[in-house]
Amino acid sequence: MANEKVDVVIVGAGASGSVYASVLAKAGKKVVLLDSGPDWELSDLISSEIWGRRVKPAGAPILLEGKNPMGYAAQAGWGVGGATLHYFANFPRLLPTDFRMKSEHGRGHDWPIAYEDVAPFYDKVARDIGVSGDAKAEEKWRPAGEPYPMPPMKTFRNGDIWLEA
Amino acid sequence: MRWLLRQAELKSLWRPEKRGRATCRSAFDAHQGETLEALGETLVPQAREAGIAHYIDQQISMPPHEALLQARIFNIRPPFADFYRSAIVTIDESSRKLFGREFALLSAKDQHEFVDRMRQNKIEGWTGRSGGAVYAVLRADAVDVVYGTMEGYEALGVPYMPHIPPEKRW
Repeated sequence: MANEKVDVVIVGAGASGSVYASVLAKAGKKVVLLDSGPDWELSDLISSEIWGRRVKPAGAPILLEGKNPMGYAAQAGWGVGGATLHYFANFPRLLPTDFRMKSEHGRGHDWPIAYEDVAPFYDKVARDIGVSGDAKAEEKWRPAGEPYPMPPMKTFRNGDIWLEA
Repeated sequence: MRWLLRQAELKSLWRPEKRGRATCRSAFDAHQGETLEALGETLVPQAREAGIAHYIDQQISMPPHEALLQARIFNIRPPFADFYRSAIVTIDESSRKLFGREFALLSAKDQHEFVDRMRQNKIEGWTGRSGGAVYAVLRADAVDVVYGTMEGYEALGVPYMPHIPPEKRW
């Protein structure tokens, strides 16, 4: 394995790296995917706020520098799969207005691209990973795009509350 | 002499066996244990009975990468014991200046007053990690032991619905 030639090496097997590796492999490329930390078993992923911290970054603290340092450990993962080990499995889209914050709200900067430019890629990612839901019934706020490729899942009480909001 | 008396007084307060916990080893002395319990109880009622001192004690006694403490998320530099011990020293120094006694020996009213000032970084002469940061970590620990378990969810009336239920609280 160490001397085997590959086409692509991807560092990080999280949401981006793993999907990218899958797309490349399907296209016939030989891919190596690298990640750090334990290779957790499914049975290790205990449903608990406390036990769930096992998959959060461990070891040396992350250096926080700069004018506006922001904590990172809460969003990151530790192990094969990266942050997808504990992500919320939601795929909300940016809204068209998010790309025009400066011109519409006088804050931050406008993006050099618009929602319409990225919408096809939202659709592609949804197809590749199998996002489920009913965009018309459940996400009245969602901007234009293809229907989700998978049917909606059963909602629980907190989901019902979000739907009512 | 006064210190010895206070130690004896505190020892009578922090008795982990009263909460049904193992007592064979502890990273904290009686004073530190009682101070953690008093801080936890001030931040989240029931934290003392839920075992906040035991929880922190147990978690700082294992390798940092295995610890379940929120300190990991708050980017505290291991060993985590250093954070808790230095926080207790600073809290007691400030408590003596403000109220004339260590935090664990204050009335509940004064403990709340102290924590409120600590939360807002409004204690003069505070050293080490900011009062707000100490508040955030200790409060997170107290919330964990009171509400972060299956028993805590049940007490709140929230269905737990686990895919893989935890076999132990922590």
